[in-house]
Amino acid sequence: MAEIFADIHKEIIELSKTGNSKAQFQLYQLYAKAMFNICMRMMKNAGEAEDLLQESFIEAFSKLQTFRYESSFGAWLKKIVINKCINSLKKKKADIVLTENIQDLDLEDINEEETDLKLEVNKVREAIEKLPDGYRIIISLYLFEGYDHSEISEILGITESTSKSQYLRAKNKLKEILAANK
Amino acid sequence: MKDKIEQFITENREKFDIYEPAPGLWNKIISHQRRVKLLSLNWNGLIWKAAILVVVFFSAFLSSEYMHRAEYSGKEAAKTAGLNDARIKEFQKAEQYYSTMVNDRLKEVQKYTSNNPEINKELNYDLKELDNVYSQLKKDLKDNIANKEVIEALIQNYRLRLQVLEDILNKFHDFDNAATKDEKHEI
Repeated sequence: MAEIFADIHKEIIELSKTGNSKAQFQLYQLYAKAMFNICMRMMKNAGEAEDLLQESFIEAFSKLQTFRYESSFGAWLKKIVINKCINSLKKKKADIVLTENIQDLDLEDINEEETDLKLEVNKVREAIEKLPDGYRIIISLYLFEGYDHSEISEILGITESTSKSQYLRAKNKLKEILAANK
Repeated sequence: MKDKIEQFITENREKFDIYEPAPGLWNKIISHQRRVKLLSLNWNGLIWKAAILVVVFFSAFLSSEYMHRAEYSGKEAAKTAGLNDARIKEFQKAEQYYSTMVNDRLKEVQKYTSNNPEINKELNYDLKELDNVYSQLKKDLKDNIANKEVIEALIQNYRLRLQVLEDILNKFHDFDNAATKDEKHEI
C-alpha cells in the first residue's frame, strides 16, 4: 500500500485544489526557489530555467486534483520539474547518456586525489556547471535530488547499471575538474 | 559509503541553491491560469451554441430534402440540373473566399493558442467535427441531392468556423487589453 504523507502544507494544498489563487501563490513562494535551482542545475540557462519553472507550476496547478499525498508535495512537484527539464534537454538533443567507451579502470573511484581537495561550495558549483550535460544531469539527480539509480533509470529511460556507471564517471570527472582548478 | 565530495554536497546542500527566480514569474503563471479559465468558460458555451445550430440546421435540411424529393419529376429534374450547375459555380467562388478567411483567422488564433495546448486541443477537436460535417455535405453535393440546401449548409459550416475563431480571438484581445491595463496600474 502506498505510504500516505501527512504533508505539512496540506491546508494550502487543499485550498489550491479549489483554484484559490492566494493559496497557490503560497505554494509558489514555498517551492519556487528550490525548483528554480533544480532547473538551473539541469539547464544552466536562466531564461530556459524560468520558462520550465513557469510551465511546471502551470502543469502542477492544472493537475493538482490528482495529488493524493502518496508522496510529499515537494517530491511530486520535483518530479514534474525534472520531467520538464529532461524533455526540454531531449528536444535540444543534449547527450543525456554519454556512451563513450571507457575502460574499467576509469570506472573506479578516484580516491587518491580526493584527500587533497579543499572543497568550497562555489568551486564545486562551478565545476558542476563545467560538466558535459549527461554528467551534470546524473550528478544533479543522484547527489542533489536524492534519487536512487533505480529511479534515475526510470526518469532517463536507461538501465540501472548505465545509471551507476555514468554516475561514477561523472563524479570522477568532477574530481578531475576540481583538482585542476585547485 | 559516501566519499568526501558526496559528503560535502549532502552537508552543504542548501548552500548550493543560490539562484532566485525573476520576481515577475508569478504574474506570468497567474495570467496564464486566468486566461485558460476565461477561455474555457466561454468556449464551452460557444460549442453548445454551435452544436445546437448544427442540429437545427440539419433537421430543417432533412425535412426540406424530403419535400424536395417528393416534388421531383423528370421534366423538373432537367431544369433543376442547369440551375444546380450555376449554383455550384457560385458556391465554388464562395468556398474559395471563406476558406481563405478561415485560414487567415486560424493562423491568427494559432499565434495565441500555440502556448495553450489544452485550448489548441479543444479547438482542433471542434474544427475536426465541423470538417466531418463538411465532408458529408460535399458528398451530398456530389450526389446532386437538394443542392440549394446543401450549399446553404456548407456556407453555414464556414460561418460557424469563423464565428468560433473570431470569438476566441476576441477573448484573447480582451484579455490582452485587460493585462495591459493591469500592468499600467502596477506601474
